[in-house]
Amino acid sequence: MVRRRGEATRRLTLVAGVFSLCVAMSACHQSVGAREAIEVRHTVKPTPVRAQHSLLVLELVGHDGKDLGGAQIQVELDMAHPGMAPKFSEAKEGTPGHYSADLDLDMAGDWVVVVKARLADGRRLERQFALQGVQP
Amino acid sequence: MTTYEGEEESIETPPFDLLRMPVVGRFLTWRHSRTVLQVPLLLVSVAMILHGLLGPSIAPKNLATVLSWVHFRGVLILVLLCAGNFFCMACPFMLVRNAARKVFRPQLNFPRVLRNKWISVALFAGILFCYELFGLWSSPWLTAWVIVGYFGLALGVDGLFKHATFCKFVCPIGQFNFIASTVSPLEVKVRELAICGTCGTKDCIKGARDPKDELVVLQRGCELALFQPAKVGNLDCTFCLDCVHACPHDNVGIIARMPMEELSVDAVRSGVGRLSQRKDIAGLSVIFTFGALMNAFGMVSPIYALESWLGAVLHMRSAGTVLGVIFGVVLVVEPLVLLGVATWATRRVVEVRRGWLSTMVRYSYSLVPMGFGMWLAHYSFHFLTGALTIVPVVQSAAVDLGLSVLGAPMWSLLGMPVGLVKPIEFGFLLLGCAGSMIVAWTLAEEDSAERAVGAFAPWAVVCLLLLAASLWMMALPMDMRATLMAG
Repeated sequence: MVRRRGEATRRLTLVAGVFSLCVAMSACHQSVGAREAIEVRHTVKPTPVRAQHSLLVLELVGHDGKDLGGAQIQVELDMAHPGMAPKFSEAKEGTPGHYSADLDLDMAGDWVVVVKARLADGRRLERQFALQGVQP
Repeated sequence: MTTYEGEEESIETPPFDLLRMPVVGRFLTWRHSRTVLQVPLLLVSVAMILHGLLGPSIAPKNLATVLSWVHFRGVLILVLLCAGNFFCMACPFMLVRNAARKVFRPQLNFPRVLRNKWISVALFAGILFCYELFGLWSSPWLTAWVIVGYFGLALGVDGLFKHATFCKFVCPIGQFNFIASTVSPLEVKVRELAICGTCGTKDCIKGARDPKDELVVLQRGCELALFQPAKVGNLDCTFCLDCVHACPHDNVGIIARMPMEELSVDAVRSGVGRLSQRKDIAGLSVIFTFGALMNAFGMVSPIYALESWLGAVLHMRSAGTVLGVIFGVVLVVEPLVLLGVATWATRRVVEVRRGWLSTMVRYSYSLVPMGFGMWLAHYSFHFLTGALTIVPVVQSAAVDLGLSVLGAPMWSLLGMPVGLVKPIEFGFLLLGCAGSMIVAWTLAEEDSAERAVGAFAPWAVVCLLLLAASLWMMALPMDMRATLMAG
């Protein structure tokens, strides 16, 4: 009787442990970059976006609404499907706070664009946005 | 002394037996070989789950998505082509299940009404549907949860029910492997049937128990109810090698055989029965074949146009509903029409003794090689063109953990150029079609030696139609979309 109760406790503990682990794991979801008081506005030209060489236009705006010039920006282009290499390019600054980078969209489908910037004051930021439904 | 069907074949020396090979054979016959194969896969699975939940959210940079959708599928299908069902042998779910069974001793038998493939057919189709609808390939987080769900389902089912219920009746990957392994060149089978005739213990199916305590199992017999002397082919065989370890006569090997031959054999199979009477396995074959087309169709541009057109015509805004209609047409309506017309045409030419449905069931197995060819072309494309992408992903994961020993991620590593892989893909498709033709011809000849051409012709047309559709899809540029009805 004592042995049976011990076994039952062991099973209950195992089930409870697995359940707790699942609940804890369901909360695991990496956030995409920390939110900072810097806005990164983006547009891709030409529209609609097609599988071809395109231009990514970025605008960095500080919390006071002023454009942030002098940043070094690296743009990373990833396909939504695994098994392909990311493409990297540097964004060039035109007018202060306005940057542009080439996007080599060589395949139709969904892409993810990652913008990594080092601001003039040394701060770093990373933003990620999706380019969905790039047409052939 | 018992005699078994096909015993006269035992006088021929088997051409090749993997278990008789010097190093590999010794390893596989070692009692703990399966565990040694399972442990690394379990560790990789845990890494995939953790990286999927906690690592980068971009699919090409995450272990969960890269390993699941590029490497696992590619290696699986190539191993099935070159050897056999070795993934089931190394399945990490079973390692966890066996450990859990030390705590939970299942007491129930799986309900008789559910002892067929219909649950796994539904799960297989369901996974293909969810893969498209939720873009599983693009989400490390969802992929990680799919793996967790798999472990949970295996534990739940085999925690409640005795034997290998999960493997035989539930696991969709297992069913995929069972059907695909009908084209594999290796099979776990008896070396000499005559020896089985003299065997009094039947340990290969019953296992061995401690003579002092009947409750103590010393060696499991086949948990999938495959009695070696009456076993035909690879269906339902997980290559667990329990029968190899159990056989007191060392009479079970992993032996070379003619790939696909078992698809035209209609003998009574241990644990399976006659293929012509198994509508569920025929259904699995159909989902396997047409699912291959659907899975590839989801990766090319025309699906955009089809989805938009269907959405407009049927006034549907829900991506799930539109996709459901497409799946219904490709996986149910299209096979019913094609197989129905081919069966009708065959029966017009040949007087077949079996019934209409039984004829359709029997010939449906001839499509398996074509389906295998399509899976092979699709999965090996991703694997061959992206095989090296795992290197920078592992490097990146190490960097994230603060380990710099592997160096900076070499993101430029890829795989074979697409231009080189494409001809290989076309070759796989042609081989698949040729295999289907051979099986269909064999079945037609069995039905009527005089009118074999007439019986074969409708199925040849079906094979050629599937080949044309496959070649068309493989020739199109790939379109990696993750969101249905986007744009």
